[in-house]
Amino acid sequence: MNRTPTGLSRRNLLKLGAGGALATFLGACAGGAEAPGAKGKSGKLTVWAGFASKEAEDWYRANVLEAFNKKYPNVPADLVIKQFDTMAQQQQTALAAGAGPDIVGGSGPAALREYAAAGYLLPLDDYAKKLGWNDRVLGWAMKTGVVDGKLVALPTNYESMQIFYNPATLAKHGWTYPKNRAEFEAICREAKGKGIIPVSAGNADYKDSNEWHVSVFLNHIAGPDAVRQALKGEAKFSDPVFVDAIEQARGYFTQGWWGGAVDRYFTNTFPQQYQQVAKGEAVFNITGTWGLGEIGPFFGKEGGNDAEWAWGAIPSLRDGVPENIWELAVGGTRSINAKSANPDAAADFMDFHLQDPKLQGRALAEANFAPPPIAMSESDFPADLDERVSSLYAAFGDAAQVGYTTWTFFPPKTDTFIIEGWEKLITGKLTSQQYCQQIADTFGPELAAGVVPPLPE
Amino acid sequence: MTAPTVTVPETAPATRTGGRPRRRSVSRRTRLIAWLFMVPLIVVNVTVILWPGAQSVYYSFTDWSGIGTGNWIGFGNYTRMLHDEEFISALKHNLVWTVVSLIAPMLLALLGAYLLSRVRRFQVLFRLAYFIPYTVATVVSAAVWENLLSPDSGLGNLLGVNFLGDQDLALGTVAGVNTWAFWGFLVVIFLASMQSVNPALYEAAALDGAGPFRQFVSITLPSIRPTLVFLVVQTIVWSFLAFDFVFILTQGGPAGATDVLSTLLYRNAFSNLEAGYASAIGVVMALFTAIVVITYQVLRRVRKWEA
Repeated sequence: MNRTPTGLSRRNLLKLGAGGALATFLGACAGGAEAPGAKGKSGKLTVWAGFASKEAEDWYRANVLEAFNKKYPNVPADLVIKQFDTMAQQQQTALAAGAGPDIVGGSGPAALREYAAAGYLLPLDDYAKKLGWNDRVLGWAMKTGVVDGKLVALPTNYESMQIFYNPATLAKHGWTYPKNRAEFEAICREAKGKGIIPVSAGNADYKDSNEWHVSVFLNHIAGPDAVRQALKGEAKFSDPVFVDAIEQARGYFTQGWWGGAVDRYFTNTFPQQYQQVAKGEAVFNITGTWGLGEIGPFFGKEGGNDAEWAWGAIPSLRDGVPENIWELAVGGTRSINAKSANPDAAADFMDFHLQDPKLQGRALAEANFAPPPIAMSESDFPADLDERVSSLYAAFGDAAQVGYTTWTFFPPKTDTFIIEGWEKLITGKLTSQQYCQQIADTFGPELAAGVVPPLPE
Repeated sequence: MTAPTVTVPETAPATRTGGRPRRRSVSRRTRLIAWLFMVPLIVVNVTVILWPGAQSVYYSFTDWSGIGTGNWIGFGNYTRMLHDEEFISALKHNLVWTVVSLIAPMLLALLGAYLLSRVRRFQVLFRLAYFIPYTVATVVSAAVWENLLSPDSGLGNLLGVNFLGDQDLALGTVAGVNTWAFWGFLVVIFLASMQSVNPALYEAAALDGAGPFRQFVSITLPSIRPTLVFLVVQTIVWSFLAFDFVFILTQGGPAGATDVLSTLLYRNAFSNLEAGYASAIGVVMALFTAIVVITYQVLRRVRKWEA
């Protein structure tokens, strides 16, 4: 779930913050234009989209839009560029007025459920059957588009969390990449003692990045099983396992391990964080797969240094929590407007983004568009794709243990509290017990109301 | 070329409305035409202000999520507000913001305008310099100040202070940035008002031995009182609508230290999907500003400031 009111996915917002990355919002929305002629047979599909750069827009036009129009000439798609910060609101307003785009771009399950409840979205089950989406889209991702037993959205991309680091920094201080809590904390402690920031972090560019860290703490300290049980209502977020996890995480912040100091966490920007890792001023940076498109310019020739970056899986941060847990997240969704004059064409448009894994591989390599959650093999990625990028997606794709990100699997009010309350926790306005209790108190009614997104099997 | 003239007959024929003079009839037609000219504006205002405003009031009594329809919950949102710590905190921040905005930019602007009114050379240049911050896009001003105040490379680094990351300093800092962007506007308005003060008053005061400060207090301030009161009212209203600098510089943080009503409203409407509650907050904000405006209007009539 994307908590940005702007309709941006985290990945894309971050790219704006990092300045210069190509990736963009692929939650294209199609529609607007009246379709003369028979339903689904002719007319025009107007596509709304926002891009982080002109290069990304050009790439999308040349490689996706034109290819689609060539393949489906009867109802060609017309791209309309929208501003990130107003696209979601424009779409919401248009839908409320009974108009709006044919394809409804979604930022996550929360708004999706509201749209579905309002009758804005066309059920996609028949299209899924006809076009074979269930066979192509990864099962867990497909489930995030199910509301009240009906498929109403397709995921546009998938995400996870990982650690970026500078191998030279580890080597310089004689550290090896940590595999467990003891090793991780030992490095953090030693680094702090040496005046090095253990984990570069900050939310100055994007307040909602608080939840990236909370997602990591919940899954790597409390553990994914505990999170799953709580999300299913079989346990409570106020249980000791969560309180202890949050207390441990709070300690990381108050000791200055995250961002250098609590007050610095509020003013650290994303470029700063990558620069700190590149310069050896910070050891680790914990972020999502969207960071693959951001980190490059701060290293090597482009960054004016000879530093290299590498990624690693986030270690288990508590005994008993398995290693190699990869959080699951969906960065955006596409649905069909219930009032669409061209629902079949809209379905074709959505399907087109899932048809060619090689195209998605190129999109990742050439324009840094995160791939959709479809089965992709190594041969789908171009040979010139950075090995670090392909290996991260391969590791993530082969994950045996998965975690649950707050923006994909938590309901909206709970998610908002997790973000807002986190700042109160690390500044001492809330205790860990109070923070967890308020999460539980917020989550309970949402679970009862049936607005908790479905979990993967 | 001569100006067209209207010849009114000495004995205008009686009209069908009971012998009223024709002149009144013309006046009515003039009024009608005036109203016709106003129709587009009225339509726009009804469409984009009155109707959405009425809808906001309606939605404030519902649990509307912002999508689809909502259920009527009476005063539920308003009673919730009374116990909502975030609302109370945001309201306090708005009050602090108002006080800061009424003191710092007002005093600076009065001083700046008074000094400028005494300047004969390069006055336009100074006016321009003061006014420029007001014309710069907020997002640009915010970015500049964010860098200036940075604890890593800016003033914050020099002084060892994290202006935007410290809970105790953040609100004042953001209000200060707002003051910087805002005070030049006040200067220009005050200056225009001061320039309309009769110079003979200053000459007479000077002959009586009044110094610049006495002249400012006894002549300038009373003479520009309607402008001063109007800008005070406007500043209070704007203070309750404060949003942009807060949203860009701190997003309401750290830990809610700079949250104001508008950022709280925004978060409830678009993050919590509680548009009904957000509408109620909006209605309360409107009520606050309405009270201020009505008080101003009453004072204006009672004191006959425009007489």
